[in-house]
Parts: sequence; C-alpha cells; structure tokens
Amino acid sequence: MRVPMFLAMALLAAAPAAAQHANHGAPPAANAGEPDWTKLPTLSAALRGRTGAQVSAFNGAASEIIATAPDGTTATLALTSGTASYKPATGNYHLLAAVDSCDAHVATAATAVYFPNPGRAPTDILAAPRQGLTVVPERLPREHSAYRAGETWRFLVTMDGQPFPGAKVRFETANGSRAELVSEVDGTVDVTFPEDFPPRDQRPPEAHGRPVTADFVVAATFQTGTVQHIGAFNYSYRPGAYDGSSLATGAGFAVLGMVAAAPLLRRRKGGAK
Amino acid sequence: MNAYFMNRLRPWVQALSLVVLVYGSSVVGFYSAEKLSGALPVLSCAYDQENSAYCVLIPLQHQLHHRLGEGLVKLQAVTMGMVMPLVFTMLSFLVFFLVLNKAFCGWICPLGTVQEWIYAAGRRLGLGTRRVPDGSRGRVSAVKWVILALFVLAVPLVSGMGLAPHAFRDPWCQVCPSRIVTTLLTANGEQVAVPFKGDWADTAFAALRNLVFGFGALFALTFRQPFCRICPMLSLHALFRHFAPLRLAKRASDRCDRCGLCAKACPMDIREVQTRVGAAAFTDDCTLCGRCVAFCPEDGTLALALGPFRLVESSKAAFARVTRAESPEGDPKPARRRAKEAAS
Repeated sequence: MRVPMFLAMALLAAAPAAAQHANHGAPPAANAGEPDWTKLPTLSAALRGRTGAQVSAFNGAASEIIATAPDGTTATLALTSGTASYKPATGNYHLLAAVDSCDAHVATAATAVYFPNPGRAPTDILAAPRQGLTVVPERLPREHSAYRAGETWRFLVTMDGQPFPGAKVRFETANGSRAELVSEVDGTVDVTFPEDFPPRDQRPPEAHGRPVTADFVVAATFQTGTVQHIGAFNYSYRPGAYDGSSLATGAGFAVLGMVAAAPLLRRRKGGAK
Repeated sequence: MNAYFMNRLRPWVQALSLVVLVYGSSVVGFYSAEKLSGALPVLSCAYDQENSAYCVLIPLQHQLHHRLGEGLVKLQAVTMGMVMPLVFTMLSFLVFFLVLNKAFCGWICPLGTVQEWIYAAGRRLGLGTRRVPDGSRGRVSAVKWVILALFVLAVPLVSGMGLAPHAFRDPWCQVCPSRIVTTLLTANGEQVAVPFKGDWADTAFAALRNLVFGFGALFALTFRQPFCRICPMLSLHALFRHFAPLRLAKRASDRCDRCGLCAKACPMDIREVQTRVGAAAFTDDCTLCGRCVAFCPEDGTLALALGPFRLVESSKAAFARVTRAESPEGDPKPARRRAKEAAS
C-alpha cells in the first residue's frame, strides 16, 4: 500500500513541473504581444498545446490571416480584435500571412509557426509563389534549432511569385539593431543576426533551460506611383552558438580524458592481452 | 559472396555510410521531416546539422520523457497520444533493423567507422593491442544493458514525470560520444563547448561527454571499438536480433578448439564465436562485421546467413587472401612479406 501511495503523491507533486514541458522541440516562434520595437507589420503565434495557436496581427489593419499548412492547404482565419485561433490537422511548420491593403499601401506580413506533431517539411510552401511583395526565409530553423546571433541566413524577396532584385530591405530586431540591405539579382538577401543581446546578468531568466529569444523583422519596400508595397517576415532568434559556453573548457576535459587513457597505449610485455 | 571480398567491401560501405549519414542533408533535405528516418538503428546524431537521418535513441528518450512521463503525471489514461509515438518510433526502427540486423553497427554506424579508423591508425603507429580479458567480458558486456535500461529508458521517463531534473530528459544523448564525433566532422565545435548557464547538470553532462570522448578516442588506438562495448544501441539491437533474418551462423568443427583465429579477429573480443555453435555463437555483442567469417580457415564453418541462405561463407581461399594483408588483430603486414607470401 505504501508504494502506490508514494507513487501517487510523487505524481501529484510533479504535476506542476510537467506542465512546463509543453511544445518541446518547437523552434522559438515570434514572441506574442504587440511589438514596441518596430512599426513594420508583424504577426505572432502563441502555441496552445501541441496542435493549436492563437495568432495575432500587429501594425496594420488586416482583417484575416491566411494559414498555409506544409502540404499546401490553406485556411482563412478571421481576426477578432486582431487575434484568431488556429488548430491545424497536421504538425510541422505552417506559414501565416496577413495582407493589409488600402489606396496608399499594400502590406503583407508573414511569419511561421511550428507545431510539434508530425507533418511535412516546409520546403514546398517556402518555395511556392505568392501574390504581392513578400519576404520569406530560404530555410526555417530545423526542429530543436533556431536562428542564432552571429549566423547568416538567406531570405527571398518576391513580387507576384518572381524574384525581386533591387528592393530596399530593412532589418530590425527587438534588441534595437537596425540595418538597410538591398536584394540581389536573384531576389535573395543575406541577413546576419547581430550579437545584440544584453549581457547575461541583464537578461530575463531562462525558462526551463531555453535561451531567451528576441524578435526580428525583415521587410522589403517598393513604391509604384502613390502605392507603397511592403513585404515583411518576422520571427525570433537566439543568442549565439557559444553564448554562455566555453569551447576551451570542453576541449580541456577531452584532453583530460586522453591523458587518462595515455597509460593504456603502452605496449604490454608479451604482446596483446 | 566471397569472404575476402566482403572483408574488403566493408570499409568502403562504412565510409560511404558515414558520408551519407553525416553530410547527407544536402541530398535528402534540411528539415527533420525530410530525413531518411528519425529512428535509425545507428548513432547518426541529431545534433549534426548536416545529417541525413536521426538515431532512434533520441526520439526514444524524448517520447518517454515528454509523452509517457508527462502523461503519467497528468494522471491520464494510457491514451493513443501517449503511446502511439513510441510505437511508431519502434516500428520505424524495426523496419530498418529487419534489413540488416546488427550489421547496422558493423557496417553503417559512423561512430563505429571512426573508431575503426583510429584503431587502424594505431596499427600504423605500431601500438599494441589490448583486449577484454575473458574473465571480465561478461561484466563489460553488461554495461550496455545497464545504460539502455537507465540512461535511455528509465531516467527520461522519471524526468518526464518531474521526479528528476529536466536536464535528465535525454541522458544518453548528453554523454554520447557520437554527438561530438559527428558534429566535429562537420567542423562544428558546439557540442564540445561546456555551458556555464542554467542547470548544473548540463555543465556536468558536457564535461563528462568530453571526458568520455577524449578517453575513448585515444584508447581506440590500441583497443578496438571502446564505445561500442557500452553502446545502448547495441543492446537495443540485441533485444531484437533473433527477429531479423540476417545473422551469424556457426557449424560445429573439431578444429575450432585449437584455432581461435575468429575470436582474435573479432573487434568485440567475443570468445563464443570460437567456443559455441548455432545461435549461441551469435551473441548480444556481435556487430555482424564478418571479420570472424573472413578469418576462419575452414570451408563453411562460419557464415553470414540471411534466413536459410548463406550469403558469405568462410573458406580456405578467402582466409589465405585475407591473412596476406593483415593479421586477425588488424595489424597490416609489410608489403615485402605480403609479396613473399603471395609468391609462395
């Protein structure tokens, strides 16, 4: 009787810890909440369990979000007070896009959200042609990975599905970095994520061992007559690969292991034993 | 197939497998969903960003942690959502496993290949050979079972239930030397770096990972396959080895007692390949590398068999050719001696 009682109590005591485990493996999506660091149009997706998300649009007047599943199927999500609920049937990366159109501008905001359940890779939907001026990454981070400071990733600017060279591209991060870039002949633009995170002792505590993230947006702009076209993609990035880690210490431990093994290399008398 | 040819073929298969598994993302795809498999029966490390497949041990630990352990804590009934991922992982593993059985270790595993290269370097340097003494082999062999039971199965489950720190969610992957070896092969030193942030266990795991890697990397110069001896993948294979049709087959022979070249050739120091016959000769430590078959001087005594078909059999002719190039322990023979033996 004591053992089942102990197990039951242990399970109950552990419940709060387990509640923190939701959505492991999901790359960090754009942080929820209205951004105060940019005026460019952005989207956010806050996961609700393994199969749902609350999606929101900011800095624009979009009335709906188009969600594209990795198999190419789309769903239209009507925004109420700027938010909507999304519950896809399959997992992996889904692309979200919202168009805010008026006489003065056409702005397309886009982001991606990763659902931990199985689903196709986003290769096809990232390569699929899109209407208007859009920016998408050539690749999204792999599962259990993230865009990281110090890394360079390629984004693709397209207009009505065709690569769009010469577009003025703005890169902004929630940590305050700003950069002006221009898309290449093939519509690509390489973005290097800056090492702009504050010192570790000035960051918020890491939740459950996960590094802090900061949002960024890559936006291409183009003017036709009186209409300004904006295509933006926002997501998040993490501190650099060696942030808070020591390669030298690791190498030191490896050398220590080798030193421990060195005596075993001496040849024994009488040959192999 | 001729046993000599098999012995020559295996290093090429190993090298090709290493290239495909460690660098294959440019061919098969970048994302997890595009990999050849997420439950491969070899240590193709998920931390390698350029790989083409994932080792089965990482989803096994994570599903025990995230699904089963957390599900139990939430006092749910045993639902499809908890158990089905585990079932699919094991089924994927078994589909691959049925093709090659434990030959995944001896022919495909990148970590096994690198260890063989290091040992071969040790031969070129003229270093001695160390073996596990017969009296200790049982204890050494048991370690891999303990690691499978504790590091791969029990601890992730207990951690998922919140009864152990979260850093213990995948303890085998935290210390697995393949995590360092395969990532270093892609010029990525991240897995060597020791984190000094967050959980103390992450720091301790990284230190232990480097210690184990450093020790094994040097020890492999003189001791064959040190990591394989304790690898939980080998024990996972061993659990299912009698279900797959590919196996080591041994016929009784009066001469085996006086010979023992097969046991000397075995990189896992398996004595039973000499002393036992039938299924008993195919032990849980066997990696189906086939060296025992190549170094057996008797026609048909040892074979790699697929069901009723004997694919590669030992033979006097193959033995003569194999031993011209190297000793059973893997020491290369000088070219002059090889030429003399060939002439005679």
